[in-house]
Amino acid sequence: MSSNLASLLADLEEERTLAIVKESLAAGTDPLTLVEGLREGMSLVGERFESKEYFLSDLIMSAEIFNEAIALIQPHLKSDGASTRSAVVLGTVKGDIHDIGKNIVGSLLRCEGYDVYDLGVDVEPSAFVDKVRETGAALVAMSGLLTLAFDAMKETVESFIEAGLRDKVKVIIGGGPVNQAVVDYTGADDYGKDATSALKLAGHYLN
Amino acid sequence: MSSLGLGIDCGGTYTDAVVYDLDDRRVLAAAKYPTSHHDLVSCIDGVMAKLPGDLLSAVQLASVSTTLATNSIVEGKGGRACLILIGYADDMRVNGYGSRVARARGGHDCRGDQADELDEAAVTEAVRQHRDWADAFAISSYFSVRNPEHELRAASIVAAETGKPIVCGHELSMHLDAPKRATTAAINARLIPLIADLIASAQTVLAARSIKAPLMIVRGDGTLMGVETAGQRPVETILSGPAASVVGALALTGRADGVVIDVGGTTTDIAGVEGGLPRINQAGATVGGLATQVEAIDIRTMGLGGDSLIRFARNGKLEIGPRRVLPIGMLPGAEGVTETLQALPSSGLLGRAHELMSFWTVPPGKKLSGTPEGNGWVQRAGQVPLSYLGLKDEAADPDALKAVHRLEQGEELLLAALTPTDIFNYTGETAVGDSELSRCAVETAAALLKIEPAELAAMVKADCREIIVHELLAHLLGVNGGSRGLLDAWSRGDSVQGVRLRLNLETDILAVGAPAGVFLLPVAERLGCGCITPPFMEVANAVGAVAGVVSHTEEVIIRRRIDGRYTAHASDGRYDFDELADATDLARSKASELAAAIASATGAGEVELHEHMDEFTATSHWDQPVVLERTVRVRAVGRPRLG
Repeated sequence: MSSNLASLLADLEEERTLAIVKESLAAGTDPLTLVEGLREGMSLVGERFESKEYFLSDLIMSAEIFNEAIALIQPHLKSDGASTRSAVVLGTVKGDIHDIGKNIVGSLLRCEGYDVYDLGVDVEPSAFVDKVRETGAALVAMSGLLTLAFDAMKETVESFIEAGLRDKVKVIIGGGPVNQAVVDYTGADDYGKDATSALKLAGHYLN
Repeated sequence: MSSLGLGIDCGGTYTDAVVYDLDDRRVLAAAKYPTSHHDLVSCIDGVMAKLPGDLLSAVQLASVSTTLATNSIVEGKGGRACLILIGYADDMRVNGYGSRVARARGGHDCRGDQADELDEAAVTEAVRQHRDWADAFAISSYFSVRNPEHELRAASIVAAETGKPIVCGHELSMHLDAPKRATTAAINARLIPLIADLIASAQTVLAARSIKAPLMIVRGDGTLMGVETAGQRPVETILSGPAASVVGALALTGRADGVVIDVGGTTTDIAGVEGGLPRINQAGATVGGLATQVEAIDIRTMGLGGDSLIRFARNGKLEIGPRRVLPIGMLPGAEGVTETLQALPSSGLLGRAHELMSFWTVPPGKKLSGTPEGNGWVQRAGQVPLSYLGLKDEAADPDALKAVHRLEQGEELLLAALTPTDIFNYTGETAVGDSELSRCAVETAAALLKIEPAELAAMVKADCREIIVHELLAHLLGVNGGSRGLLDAWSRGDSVQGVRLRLNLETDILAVGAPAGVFLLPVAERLGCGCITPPFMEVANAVGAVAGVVSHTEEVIIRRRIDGRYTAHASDGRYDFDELADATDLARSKASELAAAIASATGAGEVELHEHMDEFTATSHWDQPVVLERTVRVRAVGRPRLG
C-alpha cells in the first residue's frame, strides 16, 4: 500500500494519490503508514530531481500534491497532547521568499507531532527571536535559497546571541546552496540537504 | 644602564615582588611577604621593604597583578552602581550584580539600524533618581556593538547630570550577548571605587619610597594597562594573577609555547600558551558563577597544592585536597607535637588517621577578637598547638572539639594536618619548616595505616601526579565531566575493548611556583615531555606582572547589506559604502588608528601593528561569488612607556 502510494506521488499522479489516501483513511489504515508512504514518494522525487530527470516545476508540483495529501491525513492523526511535544520555529529568512522546501519541512515536522510555528517568508531576525521567547521552542529551522539568505541567517543567529538565548536553542538551516561552510559562517548548529534530513536533525536535537 | 621594572603579585598566600631588568630580561632581586587579606597595601609595602633600596630607586616602571576583582566578585562586593538598560525587552533577564536597574526605550538591530527611538527623558529621570546614591553608572544598549550611538548619547546625558564615573557596554566588549554585556558593565561600575582605592594606596606606597615610575595593572589576558585605563576598566583585571604567572613563565624560560603549570599552596593552575601569549577563553571569563564578557586567560584550576589536606578513606585510599591546611612541619612548638604524634595508638583506627593527626594553631598576625570563650581557646592554641586527642579527652569541657571546629570555620584557628609538603620533607625533596616534624608525622600516619613510611610517601606522590596528569590532559583535550573513560583506562594501564592508549605530550611543561619541581617532574616523566624549572620560578607571577606588553586589538567588520551595499562596523560607529574596496580601506585605516591610539592611551610606548583579514565568500549555482563579510583585525602591541 505505502509503496504504491510512494510511486504514485513520485510519478506526480495527483488525483490517484489523493484518491488512495481518501480510500485508505476510510478503510481505517493507520494514517502514519500513509505519511511514511508520502515521505518515500518525496524522496523519490528528490532523487529524480538530483539526476536531472525532473525539473524544478516537477518539484513544486510534488510539494503541492504532498501538502494536499497531508491536509487530508492531518485530522486523522492522534494528538499526543501539545504539552508533551517539542516546538519548532520555522521560516524563510529576511530577503528571501522561497518557501517550497520550508513548507515540506513544516509538513513533515507536523506529521511527526512537533508543534510547528511557521513564520512564513521574508522573516525578520527579531521575529524569530520573539517567537522563541514566546513559545519556548528549542529548535529554530531557517530556510533560504539565495546566497543573500546566508547573511540573514547569520543575522538571525546573531540576534539570538544578543538576546542571550543562543545556548537555549539549536539552529538548523536548509536550502539549495547550504553546506558546512555556510553553517560555520552563519553560526548555526547544523544543516539539512533535504526535508527528510531536516526531520532527522529535529529528532536528533529535540529528543 | 638597563631599564628596571618592579613587578608585584598580590597572591592568596604570598605577595611576591621582583626587580626585573627589562632589557636583559633577568631578575635582579626577589622577595616574598605573607598576604594579609583585605589589606593589599600593607602587603605591597611589606614586600618592597625586603628589596634593595638602590634598585628600587632606579625603577622606571611599576606593575601590579591583583586578585581584587576576582575576590570582590566571588564575595559579591563593590561600590553602588546604577545600570541603565536601553532597548532591552522587559522580560529579558539580566543579572545586574546588585546594581539598581533602570530601563529606557531605544536600541538597534543586528545591522546597526535604530530599532527604537532613544527615550532620553527616561535616561534623565534614571540619573536624577539614582545620582546621589550611586558611585558609578553603567549603560548597556541593545546591539551597541553594532552601533554605540544610544550608549554614547545616554552617557552624555549622565555626564551632564553628574560627575560620577560612566561605563558603556561597547567599551568593554566587542561581542554580542546583551545580558552578559550588561552584567559585565555593572560589575565594572561596582569595581570602580575599589580599584580607585587600590591605585591611590599603591601610588602612596611608591611615592613614600621615592619611586616616580608609571604604575600599571595586569589584565586577565596577561597584558598591562596604565592606571588611568585600569581605573575605568577594573573588570579586566579578572584572573590578573594567573595571567601574570603565564607571562612570567614565558619570560623566565624564554619559550613561546608550552603548558604553564603553577603549583601553589592551595591550588594548581594549568594554562595553555599560543604564540607567546596565554590562550584566551573566547566565551568570556566566569567568576564566582557569574558569566562575563571579559577576555581572560583560559585556565583550569584544581584544589591541589603543597598545603592540601591528605585524608585516608576507610578502603585504604587517599584523598588529597581540595582543603588547604597548615603542613604539620610548619607547626610551632615541635616538641609537644612530636610527643602527641608518638603517643598515638597504632591500630584499628583506619579511616580516622587524618583526624587523629589534627592540630590547631593560631593564624599568623591573629589578634583576639571573638567571644571570651573563643579567645580562651585562641590563647591556649597560641602557647602550644591543640591536638585532636587532647581535646577529646578534655575533661572539663565535653564540647571542646566542637568549639574548636567552630573557631576553625571562623578562621580564628588554623587546622594543621598531614600534607604533600610533609611528604616531600620526609623524602628530602624539600625542606619547608621543620623536616624532622614532617618525618615524625609521616611515620605516625604510616603506622596507623600499617604500611611503611616510604610506601605512604610513594602513594601520595603517585596520587598527586595522577591528579595533575588527568586535569592537564582534560584541559588540553577539552574533556569535561564524565566522558573520561579512555583517560581513566589509560591512567590505570588498562585497555578498552582491545584498545590501549599511549599518550605523549609534545610540548614542554613550564613550571611555576615554589613546590612546582617536585610535583611536576613526575608528571612530565609520565607524559614523556620535558619540564622546565627556571630559576626564580617561585616568583614567576611577579616577573609576569612587569614583563608583560601593552596591547590592544581593534576589529572592524564589513557586512554586505541586503541592498548590496557594504557597512563597516567599527567601535566608534558605522560607515556605509557602495563598494567593498572602499569599505576595506576605511576598515584598515580605522582599525590601525584606533588600535594604536588605544594602546598608547593604555600606556604603551612605541607600538607595532599586526593586521589580519578574514572573509567569507558565498558561491552558488545561480549567483556570482560574492563577499558577504570581511573582518579586519589590527593588534597594536608595544612595551610599556617608562618613567
